[in-house]
Amino acid sequence: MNTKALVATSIICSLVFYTNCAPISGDLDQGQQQDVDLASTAIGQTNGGGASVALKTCEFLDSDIISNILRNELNIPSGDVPVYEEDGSVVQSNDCRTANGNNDMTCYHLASKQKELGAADLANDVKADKSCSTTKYKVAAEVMIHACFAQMQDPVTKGQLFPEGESNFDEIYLRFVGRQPLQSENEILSELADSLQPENRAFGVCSVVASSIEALMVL
Amino acid sequence: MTYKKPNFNRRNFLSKTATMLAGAGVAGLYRYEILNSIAKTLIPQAQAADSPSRVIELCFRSGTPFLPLFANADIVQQNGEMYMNSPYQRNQYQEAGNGLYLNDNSAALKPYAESIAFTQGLMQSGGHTSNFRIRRNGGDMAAPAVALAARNPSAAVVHGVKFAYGNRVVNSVGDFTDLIDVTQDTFGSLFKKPYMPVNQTEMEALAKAAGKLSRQQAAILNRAVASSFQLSDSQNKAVNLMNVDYAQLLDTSSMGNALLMDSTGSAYARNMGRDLAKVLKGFAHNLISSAVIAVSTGDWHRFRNTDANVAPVRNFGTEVSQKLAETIKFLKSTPEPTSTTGETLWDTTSIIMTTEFTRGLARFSGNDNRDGRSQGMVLIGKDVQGGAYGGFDTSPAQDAMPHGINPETGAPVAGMRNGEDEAYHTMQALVGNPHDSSKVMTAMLKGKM
Repeated sequence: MNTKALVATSIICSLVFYTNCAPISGDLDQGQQQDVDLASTAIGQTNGGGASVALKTCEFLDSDIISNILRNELNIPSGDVPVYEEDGSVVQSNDCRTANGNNDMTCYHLASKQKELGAADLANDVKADKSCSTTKYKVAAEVMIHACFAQMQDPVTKGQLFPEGESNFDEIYLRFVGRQPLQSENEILSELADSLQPENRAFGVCSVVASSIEALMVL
Repeated sequence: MTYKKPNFNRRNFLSKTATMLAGAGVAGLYRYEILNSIAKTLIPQAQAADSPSRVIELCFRSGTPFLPLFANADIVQQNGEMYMNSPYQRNQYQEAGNGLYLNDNSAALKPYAESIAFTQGLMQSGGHTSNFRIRRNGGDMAAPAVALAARNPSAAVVHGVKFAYGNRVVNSVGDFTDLIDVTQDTFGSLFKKPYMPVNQTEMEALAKAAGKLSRQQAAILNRAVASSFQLSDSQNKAVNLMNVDYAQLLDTSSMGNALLMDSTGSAYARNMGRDLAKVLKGFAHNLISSAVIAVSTGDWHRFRNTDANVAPVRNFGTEVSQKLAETIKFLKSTPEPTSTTGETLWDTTSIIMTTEFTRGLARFSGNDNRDGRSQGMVLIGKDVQGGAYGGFDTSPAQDAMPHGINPETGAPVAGMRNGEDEAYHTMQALVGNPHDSSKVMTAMLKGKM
């Protein structure tokens, strides 16, 4: 095999991991189909006569709600997380404020990313943008990853989210997504936990669940 | 009930492959070779026609006419006191062979005239910032760049951006998401890899799990929430932005001086050039598919009868045309990152220039020219039928009042101007967005209708 073919092959292998594109075609497996049926019934997709109901447009959580999640579910009193430099140090700036308006001279994610999160800018005649976009997912995921990393070092918060131990995801799913995880979702989270260092398992699960599309959507 | 997983998205696959290769520092041509090899070997359906589409909308403000760049025979023949600041009167003009006239200032665009369509014969409704009613007070019609970004046919990492300069141009978004408001400083941060508290291997594990979980949730939400799988894709892209520093791909320092001219020229032109450079780099690596750039020249009264206005008129022509020419050169010489058939960005990108209203060319009442009365539009792209469309009434009382065209034949029609809706649906057709074909000025396009 020549070099070019080797490069191409390694790229293909990486992409299967990176894009999660496999399997290329086909239905979900039987277990997943059952899950979907259950969930569809649970969230009530049809009216009494079985007629279809208009699809809801995704509405992203606004920064106040995200801030409340940080306070209430992850026990972060400020409701925000610091912005970090590339080396991991906290960004310092006189211009930054926390989400709740406190002037503590530290840059915070939600406070500094209001525009990216679609906040209204009345001075410039810009209405609030509630749509779901890559940019918002990026901001929210960054916030949740940092928040989870910090708070999973705290035994109290960790105990609240994983009362039955780190391999049981019922409570954390209920708190962030509002329902219990399906079997297929449990399998994804178990696989993730197994791939991480023991000390990072709770953090990993917390990050992925808290930044999932369902957790960040107004339902 | 059975759930059918959507078809494998080849565009997503190729897009991610191309972006990843670029992130790994693989050069353009070699990248294309690898991409082509993967597509043929692994996914035969990648050969199917599925063209990406990209758009740059340049939105000129404050009454800027496009006459300093282009004209037709009506204008270039005007002489005398009434047209003393016309760039065609004191300047040598040149006809491009298709009815489009340029002057010495805009000559850089002559080689591309076959792909440039120009008109000022469009009706204006509303005042400043209206830009075809598709921006401020735009109602339910989304601006072409916004509608294209919503489709995101190239599966770009981020759907699109706007360099709005403090909302000097406001997009009407209809049912879609607006483009992300950026500046020269913040554009790169969209693609910058942030600090993460765990190592790369663990971040990749997180990204993989996040992708799987959101896709599973999308399957669950599919019957309740519109476009749930697109949401999953968006979230997946967002998480992957934390693993790869795409910002390094946006270095514009190697791009032509005509785009980046730092210390000379007008501020609006410098900004336009720098913004274009960023957008072009974003296109080259499929980081974005759609962009709006506001160009604010200051209130345009430069056809007034003062000698001081001669230079600004000509500078506008020189600066804007050189930046456009450099942009076209880049598009023609840069591979389309998602193509497996050797297309360049020129094959997939359209440039739309609009101006919120155009002041007349002739002096009016001895000291100024009339405000408004028409709008201007320039279309640039492979699918554009180049030429100057419409005409100007140069009788003394009319102040070079523009008129429009028969939409099908392109023939000038005295005393009428084409509607904003005709301009809008022509732009939409050009970029491949849904449109009302009965309202398209088909004469200005080729290969689309």
